[in-house]
Amino acid sequence: MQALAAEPRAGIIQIRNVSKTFEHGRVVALDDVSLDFFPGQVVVIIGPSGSGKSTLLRCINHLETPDSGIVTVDGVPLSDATNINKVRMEVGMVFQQFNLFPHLTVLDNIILAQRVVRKRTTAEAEAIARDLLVKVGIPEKAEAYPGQISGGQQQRVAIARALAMQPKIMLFDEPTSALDPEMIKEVLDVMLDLARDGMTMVVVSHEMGFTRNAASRVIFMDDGQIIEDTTPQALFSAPKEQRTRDFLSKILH
Amino acid sequence: METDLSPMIGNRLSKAQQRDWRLLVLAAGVALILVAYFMPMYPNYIASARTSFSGGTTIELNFPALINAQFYTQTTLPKEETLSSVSIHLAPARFMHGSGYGWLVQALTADNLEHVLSFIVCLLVPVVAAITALTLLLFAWTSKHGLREGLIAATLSLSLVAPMGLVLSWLHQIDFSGLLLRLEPSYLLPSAGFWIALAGTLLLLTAMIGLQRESERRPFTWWALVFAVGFVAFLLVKTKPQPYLEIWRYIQDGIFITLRIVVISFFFILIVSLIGGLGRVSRSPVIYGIASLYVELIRGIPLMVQLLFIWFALPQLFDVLGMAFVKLSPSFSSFGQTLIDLRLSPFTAAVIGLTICYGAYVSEIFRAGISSIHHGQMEAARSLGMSYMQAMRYIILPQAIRVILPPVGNEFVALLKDSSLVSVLAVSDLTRRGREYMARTFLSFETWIMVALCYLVLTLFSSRVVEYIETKTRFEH
Ligand SMILES: Nc1ncnc2c1ncn2[C@@H]1O[C@H](COP(=O)(O)OP(=O)(O)OP(=O)(O)O)[C@@H](O)[C@H]1O
Ligand SMILES: [Mg+2]
Repeated sequence: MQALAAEPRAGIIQIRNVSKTFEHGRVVALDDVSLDFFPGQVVVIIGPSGSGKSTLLRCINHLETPDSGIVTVDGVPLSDATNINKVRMEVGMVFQQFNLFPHLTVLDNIILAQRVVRKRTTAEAEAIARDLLVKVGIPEKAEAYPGQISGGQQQRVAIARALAMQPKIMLFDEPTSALDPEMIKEVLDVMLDLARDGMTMVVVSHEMGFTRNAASRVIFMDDGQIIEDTTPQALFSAPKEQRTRDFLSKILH
Repeated sequence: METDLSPMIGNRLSKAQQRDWRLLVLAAGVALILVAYFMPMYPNYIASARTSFSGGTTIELNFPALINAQFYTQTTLPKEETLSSVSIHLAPARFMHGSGYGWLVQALTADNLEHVLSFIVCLLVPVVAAITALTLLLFAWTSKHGLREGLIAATLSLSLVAPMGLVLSWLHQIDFSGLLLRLEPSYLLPSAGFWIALAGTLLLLTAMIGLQRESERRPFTWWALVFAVGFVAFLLVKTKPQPYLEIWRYIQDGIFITLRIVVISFFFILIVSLIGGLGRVSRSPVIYGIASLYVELIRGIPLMVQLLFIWFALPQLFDVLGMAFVKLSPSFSSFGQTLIDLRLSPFTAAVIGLTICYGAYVSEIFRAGISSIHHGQMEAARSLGMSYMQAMRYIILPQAIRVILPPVGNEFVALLKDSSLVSVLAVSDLTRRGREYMARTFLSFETWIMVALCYLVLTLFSSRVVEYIETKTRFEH
């Protein structure tokens, strides 16, 4: 594992010796992972199925509790349960299956957490929500229910919902892999915009176009470990490890 | 023909659809009823009846007082005397040979309308059903909107009660003979008009049951059954006030007590179940364990035993506990005394018993409803910074409610029926009132028919309401 060229700033996310197993230790999802993410970085994580990518993301906002090791977000260590909701406000997450709230309109999906977590007034929250809907390109769907809009539109709403909390970091877990091909671009475009705006992003995705255009750093994971941690150019032109080469040849055909 | 029937509602009927067997049968039924009402139906009637008793009392009754005769004779029945002789004077119907219309005109122009009101209602229902059916037919055949959905439901309801109305109108002729007038029913056998009208109403019913499949509004249509059962109870009370009116008066407050117990218990059941259901999905082993223990234990004990335990055994338990406190130390003695003095009212005991028992069952429904919501919903809510309870309140429960509502509604109906068990606790609910009345009069058949009808109206009505709410809360996924 090779650290990136000297980073002057402190890691906004610090992962130290984190391990996570499932099924009473029979399945190792993360194996002593240590890692830093820095402000403004767009990090893409790739790796075969079951390599622990999702688990790593979920440990960052504590949807999974590590068996050992410490995750620190913006200076706050997550071991302390009282910090979790505070930290989660700073870390937005976008899921493969969108996970919009089907009983609420698009607008209410974006408003709800602002009101009950950020304690904004409904008017404030709605103004923010409408701005974000413009930003993700579907202001006209504000009153629709999630079941009435396409998958690509749902995923864009999910991004808007996460952004409404004004997080410092955004996590994306395979945001386009449940989408029909013609909808992938509209979601990636929103993510590209976000990257240009300087958002710190950790993205699990095998969209190589996005990786080339937006990523400042690519991490290859296998068996719960970080095999390679480098720039997109370096990874695509000269992967160091045999495992990385095998994997890349599979996904790049 | 069966295949292209779906667009009968809201579309002009094709030629083939206009000759659909159900419409033709309906038309035949309408024609039979309307014609039959011009033919003799009840050609003879009891003009007057004189009843003599051993002590010399005689009771003289004239039409139309006889329509409600039992009600009156029963109230004036001499207590110490026995029936000695009855003489009945039959007369031919004066107007239109006793046809249906003739009777209606006569009854409607009678001086004391309220005495014959139930008779009028009974006799009117088949005609009203026929007229509604005719309206339905005319719309179907002439309008570009074809069948009217609302009319299907209305006509079905009326067709259900029409045959009953007709039969009960006949009972009006003979029924009061039961106790005082030893009259052969054959004297007052109805003639052709009655039988033809009856055949007509049965045709209406057949056609409407067939047509009912056209309507999507099943919940609404099934209101007809509620209406029909309620109507049967009403007619029984009206046509045979003795004993049905008396039974009704006796069990009336039982209905309110039953309803009060059920509604209050249900309120607490929902609270207990919400807590129980949340406990059953809790990740804390202690909370999960307590909730599971409650559910498993309570569901294993029959409701009757639980009620008996609370009523008979719990006070003893309180006594023993109270004594222990009194003996323990003087500072606890007043608390101990309160425990010893504590007496549950039968009503409270019933509510507690039903709540504990049904809380266990409904907890499981809540648990199933909550776990039916995809875990991604909880994760999305938590990832936005909501606490577990906020996620439950704003995200999980509002979605689970839609899953939970139908089975919980069914539990409400089941609770309504099971509440009859609280009659063992000396609660004067519907069932207990029925038992008391039966013990006084030994009229078991009449009493339990009335009690059953009351329960039926309540349960059928609640089922329909549950169904209605269910259709209202469906949403796009
Ligand atoms: N909740 C869980 N219970 C049991 N095993 C789990 C759970 N979550 C993950 N695992 C296991 O942990 C390992 C890593 O899973 P993870 O979801 O992090 O992989 P991934 O790299 O995201 O894979 P994919 O590309 O398929 O999403 C896998 O073997 C998976 O089966
Ligand atoms: Mg994954």
